[in-house]
Amino acid sequence: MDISRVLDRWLLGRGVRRRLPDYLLDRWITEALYDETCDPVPAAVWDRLCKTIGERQFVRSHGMWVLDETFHDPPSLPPASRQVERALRLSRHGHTSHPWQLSHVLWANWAPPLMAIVSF
Amino acid sequence: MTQTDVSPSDGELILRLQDADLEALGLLFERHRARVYRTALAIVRDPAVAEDILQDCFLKVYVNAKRIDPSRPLTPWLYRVTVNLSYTWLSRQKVRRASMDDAIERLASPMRQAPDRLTEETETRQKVRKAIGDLSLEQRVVVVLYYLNGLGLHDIAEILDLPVGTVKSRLYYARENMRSKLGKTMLWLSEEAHGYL
Repeated sequence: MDISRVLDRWLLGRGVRRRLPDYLLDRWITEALYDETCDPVPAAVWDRLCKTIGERQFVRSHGMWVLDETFHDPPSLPPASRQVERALRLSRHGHTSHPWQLSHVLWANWAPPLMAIVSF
Repeated sequence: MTQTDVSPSDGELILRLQDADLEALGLLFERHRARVYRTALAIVRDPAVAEDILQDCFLKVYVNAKRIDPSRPLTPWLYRVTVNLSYTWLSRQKVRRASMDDAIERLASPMRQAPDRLTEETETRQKVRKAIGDLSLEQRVVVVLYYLNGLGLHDIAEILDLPVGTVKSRLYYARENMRSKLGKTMLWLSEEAHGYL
């Protein structure tokens, strides 16, 4: 029994918690993920795929996907909030050429009916 | 007697697929379906959705066959498509919290565990799964690619189109989040880890 184990037992006896060691955390995460995804791949997927391809031959010539698929950001904010956030960021960094651009975006998001009346 | 590996490479199969050879798609599907399905399942945590993502991923391979460069490795592109499809699904669903909680409960339920496992081990796994489920989506994706698929930081950075430093930082904070959530299990764990129990 090495000294670290003796120390651990001693600390444990006094209710002192040790930092969860990296190797154990790694093992737990790996095992949990493997456990969670250990089910076999459903066999019906291939048949469904063939059926989809057979029924949608047209997609081959009108495919919308490209090889270097751009990466999507995870869904976090609704588009309207992103627009406001972007406008504020640009404004903070002095990239907004016209101050009305900022107020337009803010008003459009906070009071859409008012903006519609003003535009009309 | 020596055995020669006669299975065609991904590049050769892509070339055949470009000539509309469905058998080549079938071989690619056989070769990569497990990693695509498991990656999707670990991210979205719903087997039915993971099935759909698997199908859509290979539909994309078929649709884009002519645009795929056979000299480049296919696997990183498959991972990227899988992650993108998972994000798309999650954004469409608006991350229905209730169903995710149900899925977590179902996956972590004792019925799924072998009867001879220790109660403590079952509890720990439940906690670990819950902790993984509680991670932000960005962190969870990195954790899945790193731990489940065994990819390196540079590979993950390439797949996610992120700087390596960002991947490192996401992994670090994911681990710290999990460590803080799992810290309470340390009392019995310390004993188990050293073989005292």
